[in-house]
Amino acid sequence: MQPNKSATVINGIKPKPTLAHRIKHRFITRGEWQLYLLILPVVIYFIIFHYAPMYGIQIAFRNYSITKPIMEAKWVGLNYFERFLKSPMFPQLFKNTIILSFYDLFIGFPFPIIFAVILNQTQSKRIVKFSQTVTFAPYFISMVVLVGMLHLFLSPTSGMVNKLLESVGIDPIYFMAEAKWFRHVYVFSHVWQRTGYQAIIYFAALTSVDPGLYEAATIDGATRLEKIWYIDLPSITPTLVTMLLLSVGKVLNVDTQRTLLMQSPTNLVTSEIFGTYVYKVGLINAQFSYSTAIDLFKTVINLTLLIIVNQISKKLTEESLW
Amino acid sequence: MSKMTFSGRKIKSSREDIIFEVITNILLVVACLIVLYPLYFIIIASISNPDYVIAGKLSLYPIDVTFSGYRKIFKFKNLMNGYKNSFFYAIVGGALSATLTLFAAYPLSKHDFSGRKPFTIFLLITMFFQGGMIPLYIVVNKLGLRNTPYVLLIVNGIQVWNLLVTRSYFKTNHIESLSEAAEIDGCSHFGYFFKILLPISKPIIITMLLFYAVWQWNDFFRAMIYLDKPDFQPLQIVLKELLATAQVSSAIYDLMEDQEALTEMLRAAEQMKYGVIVIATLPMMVVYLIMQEYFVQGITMGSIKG
Repeated sequence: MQPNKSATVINGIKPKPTLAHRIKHRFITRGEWQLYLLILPVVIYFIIFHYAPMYGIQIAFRNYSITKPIMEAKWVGLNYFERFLKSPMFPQLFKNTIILSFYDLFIGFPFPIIFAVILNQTQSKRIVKFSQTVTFAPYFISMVVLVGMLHLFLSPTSGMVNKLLESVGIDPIYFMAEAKWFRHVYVFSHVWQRTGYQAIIYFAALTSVDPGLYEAATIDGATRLEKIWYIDLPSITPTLVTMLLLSVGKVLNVDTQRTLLMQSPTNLVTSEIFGTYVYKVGLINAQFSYSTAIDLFKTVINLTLLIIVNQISKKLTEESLW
Repeated sequence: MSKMTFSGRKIKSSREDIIFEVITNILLVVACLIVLYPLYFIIIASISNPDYVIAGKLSLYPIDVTFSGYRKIFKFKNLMNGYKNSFFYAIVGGALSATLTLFAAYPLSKHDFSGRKPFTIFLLITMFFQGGMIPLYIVVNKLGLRNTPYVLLIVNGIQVWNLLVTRSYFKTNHIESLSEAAEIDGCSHFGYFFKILLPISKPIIITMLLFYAVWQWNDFFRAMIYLDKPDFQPLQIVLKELLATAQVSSAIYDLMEDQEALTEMLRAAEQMKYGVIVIATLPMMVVYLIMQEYFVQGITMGSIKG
């Protein structure tokens, strides 16, 4: 063992270590500088790409143009927010975003849970493994490809879905262009893509259930459905609550990229949402300040919702995100 | 007496078990078919005569097998360039992101690290509050990263969620006790991290590499915002132009004078679309099938709180 430097400091009368001493002790003697060095790149990264943009939020309150520095742009207060709240786009975006988000949440939520319970109830390990492998696969298909597949399968002239409809005497439907179909196509293609992926989390919670519980239930004469109801579902409740909380915190953040890809000029009535509008106003029309104001409005509402839902959850189930 | 009722129940439950097994198996098979059939259809459509595909004749097996679609795809320069770029972004970007994530996750996993709490809060805040699209765009623009290949390697390169997953892996008990033993032996943090922790953390290293690589391969949005020139475009942008656009409407179709040429073009385009989907998705599917365990592990670890 090598002589320890800090031991000599502690020897003899113990003076109260000064702050400088304590810092030196932690940093040098205990080698914490190495830990700081390891985390440094990520901290710098976050300062530049997450915190610097937060500083840039102030352009929502200024009349900003890209040629001048932010501080030189004229302060206009809540002008842009007022303009947005008064514009006819606001009610439409709000309605579309909320409907799409909740539709996606409530349809999408039960599938992975039901799927995980079925997997857990299946005795044949080979079938379980195979089904898991298959259903997880769509997660690895990119959004661009997925939307491409939708265009191919749902095409009014050559798509297999319309051929099927035609064979039972239904006129072809232009799913990707008609506004009333947008939400259904969005939600159910999303279910197709993510159910297997999300089921993994619930399945992991289920497989960690103490098998003794099932044995005890069997001796008590519980049916399989009773076991699902009284053992399986309670055991995934914490996971479920966490997932729900995270989803609610993102209500206005419903997948911008997916929506953008699925938009067509004719389905904008239902498919224009906050995220896509922020993109168009900001990067296509280059109205930087206005776009940022809408974005900030969205973020603040999301954050408020998350805090409210988290508080409620804390009271009711003792589950919370923080 | 009690024995009899017990065995009676057992028979009842075993019959129930059989019924249950049949039902669950049927449901799982249906679920698998719903997932597999569209994928299977794309593969057979990519090697079938496009006339049959467009006419909706294709259902269970390829008809009039031809590889002309694939031959055209491999001659399509933009696509091949995108393919090459995406491999670069996935491999280099994945390695860079995974390295930095592992570096930062280690200090955060040490319960006696003085910066643990402030840094954790510093990172978590960004999960719930972001500057937004335009402020980030301004920063990227100011740094001169637009229209450079680096932009896709860097922007959104570190994901807090992955950091938390890695941290919770490092935190698991056997690893913590190991760290204490190493400290007593006078091992420095660097020594412990590089010589002891990383070699026994192969699963999380692979998981992180895979997560970041798949994400890089599949992402299109950042390229759409930050890259204008075709040189550095990733595969997904090329695909977007090919696939994710509404078809030529019939009105335009009627207006076109040279209908035959147009029909021929559409016919070829239709078959190419299927082939393009296959070659764009194949690398990720292969990686997934080989590395499935690591993906599952990464997702399950992320759901563990703390």
